[in-house]
Amino acid sequence: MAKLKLGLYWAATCGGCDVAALADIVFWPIALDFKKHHVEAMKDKEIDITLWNGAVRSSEHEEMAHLLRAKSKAMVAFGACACFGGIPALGNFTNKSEIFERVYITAPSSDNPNKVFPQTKTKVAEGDLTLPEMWDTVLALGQVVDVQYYIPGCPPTVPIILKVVEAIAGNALPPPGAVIAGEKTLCDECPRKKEEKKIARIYRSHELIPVPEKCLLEQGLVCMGPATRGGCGALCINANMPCRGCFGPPPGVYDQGAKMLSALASIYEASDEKEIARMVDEMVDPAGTFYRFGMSTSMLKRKR
Amino acid sequence: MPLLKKMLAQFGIEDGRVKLDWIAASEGERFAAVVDEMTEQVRKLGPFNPNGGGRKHG
Repeated sequence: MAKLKLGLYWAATCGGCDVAALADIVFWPIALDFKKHHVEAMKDKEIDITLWNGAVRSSEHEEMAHLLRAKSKAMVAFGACACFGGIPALGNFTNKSEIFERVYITAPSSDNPNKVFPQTKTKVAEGDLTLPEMWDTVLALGQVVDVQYYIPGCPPTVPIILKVVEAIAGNALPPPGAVIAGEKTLCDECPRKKEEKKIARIYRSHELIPVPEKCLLEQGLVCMGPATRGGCGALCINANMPCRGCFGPPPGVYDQGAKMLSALASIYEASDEKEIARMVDEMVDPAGTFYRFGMSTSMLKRKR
Repeated sequence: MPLLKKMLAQFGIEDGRVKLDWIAASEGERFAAVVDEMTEQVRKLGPFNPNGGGRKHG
């Protein structure tokens, strides 16, 4: 059997997915000096599988996505950013010019009296210097190229990665389009005791140390379990932390944030408008919380 | 509804574009009045910007 050709690439992301996939490789000089022209020189579909982590938010990401798509038999969105936009897609609540303004002008650590911003093209004596162009909107990989498989998570968990490796090695990959994770919501798999879901106060994680056995939502913590796909092994829940939603929406749910908003609103216990207003105040950043990982693939996709 | 409106505001969707009201089947006139009022309100707000002003890949 020919050796499997595997590609890995990262775009707008933190690098945690690479760490999850490669945690055991500590030194490998022969393998780690690939350049773009090496990929360009490959035949189409020469790579068996590309694991792509990171969202797509610049002309460079887009170019690499198309290049690797052409050279790969299977393109895999690896991790929450590639699947749904992830944390970088919170940038969709703002835009490029506001981000540049913050980073290069108003950030306390910026000293930029001449208001110099990065340019995609700069003339110097030796010729033109170029940089990729950053976009206003952060996209998920599947919004730019065809994707065969989705492996969610921030980062994907080791058991899921092993399952995928086994499937690849045994030539037993699921049908294209599959999300390789659980098939139910996290709530379905959650080991905590659920009693009556009614809450009169919302707590943020730093305001409360929750009781370990009881449903976190019932204790007033915004746990994304009802609107999130399971299969993660309830890692955060078992560490006494509410789910943040990194496995994306469960099967059959299109918009994770809308689902969570509806789940939360239906358990609010408030007797008058004043109390409702207080509870709405307690929910400090609803959009950023409900769409923490799912902004790119949400119905609204970005701030209007 | 107040939570939904707070969230939609973060998405840049104006308050006037969303409304929830209860009208009984027998309140035909009130139904017409509420729809007229909503239509006028949205007309005043002008066209909804589907791209959010995003220049590329909006």
